[in-house]
Amino acid sequence: MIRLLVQINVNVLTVRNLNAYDHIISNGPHIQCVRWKRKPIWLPPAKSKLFRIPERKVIPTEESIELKRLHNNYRTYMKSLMTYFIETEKEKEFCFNKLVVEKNAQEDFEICSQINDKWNKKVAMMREERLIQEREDRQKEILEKVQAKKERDSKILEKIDEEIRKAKEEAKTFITPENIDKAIVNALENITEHNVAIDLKVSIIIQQVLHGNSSNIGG
Amino acid sequence: MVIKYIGRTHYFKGQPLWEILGNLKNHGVGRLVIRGTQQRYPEISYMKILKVAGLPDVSKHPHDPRKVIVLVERVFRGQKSPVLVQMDGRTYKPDFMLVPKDQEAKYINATETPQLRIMPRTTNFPPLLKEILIQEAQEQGKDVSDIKLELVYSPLGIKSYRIAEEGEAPTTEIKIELGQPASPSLYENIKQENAS
Repeated sequence: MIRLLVQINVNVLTVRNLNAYDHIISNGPHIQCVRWKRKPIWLPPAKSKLFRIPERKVIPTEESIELKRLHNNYRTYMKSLMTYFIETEKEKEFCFNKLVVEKNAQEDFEICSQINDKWNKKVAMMREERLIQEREDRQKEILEKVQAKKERDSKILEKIDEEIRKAKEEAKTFITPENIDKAIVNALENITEHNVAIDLKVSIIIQQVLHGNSSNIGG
Repeated sequence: MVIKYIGRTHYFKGQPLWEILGNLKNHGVGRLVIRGTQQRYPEISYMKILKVAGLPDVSKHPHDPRKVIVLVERVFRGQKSPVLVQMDGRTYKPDFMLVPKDQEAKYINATETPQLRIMPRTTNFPPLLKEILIQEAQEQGKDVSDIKLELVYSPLGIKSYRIAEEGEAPTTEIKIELGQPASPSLYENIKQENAS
């Protein structure tokens, strides 16, 4: 804060009282304060001006009539405008009142829930249709699968039957403990040579293997 | 010691009510009293004293005026107040004058009242505010034509005007503009356009 420069011819009392306004007065070196450079309002009138009585101002009648009219109009207008502002502010405040806000929220919630219910119904209908469709599809699918399984099963059974039939037919030639001796004798008597070669004319060339005990006898 | 008062003078003309009523028989009940400041009106204004009582002396100085409490029937600018008025706080003002008994008839029989003015109910908003309000109304889809400022008048006192009824044309106008001047001679030599 820049201190006020004490001017010459300024009363000490006045200056002391001015100190409270230093921040107002001396914001810069180029500012000249008009209002506070002299007597503060709470000091008594200066001695030189104690007995000075200001003259009463005389305003001409027509001027005073006109001034009165203007002042009356101005005051009525400003009062009305102020009332208007106050009332609009009150209305705004009322809008933000707790009860009103709660009521508005409740109304809003009701509207929202109505819309939500509508949506829910719509979605429920769609879901119902879809579920019915899905159920039908599933039933079809299951039926198809069952059919397919039946077919598959019957095919497998047929296959098995055939195999069994084959096996039964072959079973006659099986070597059993009863005919094992006969089979051994038969095998020893009829030696089959499987170690053969084929030439270009597809004639089998049998080469007797005399040496070596390689398995030239087919079992 | 003679006291000499120095300072601004007031506009009052007359005596405090205490001094007037104290010198009268029965404390002036039934007499007429007028206020000096009300004499500027061409119509008659007076007060008829109905009841008088003194108030305790709380003055710091014997020269300070004292107060009385009086019930009066008040006539202001030729219009009688519908209710009786109690005066106490203002009775110290040296502004009361007693009406001599031979002149009382002149006051009581006076019928002149000021011309009744009809004041407007509504007026236009200031230009910028009006534009803002019109914009707001248009945004909300409201009617733009009925954007008017409701004028507020003081409900107190005896009035020489009344507020216009619905659809009634007012005799005076209150606008944000200069309006119709009361003394056009003041605006005679102004060359600026739309001065009045």
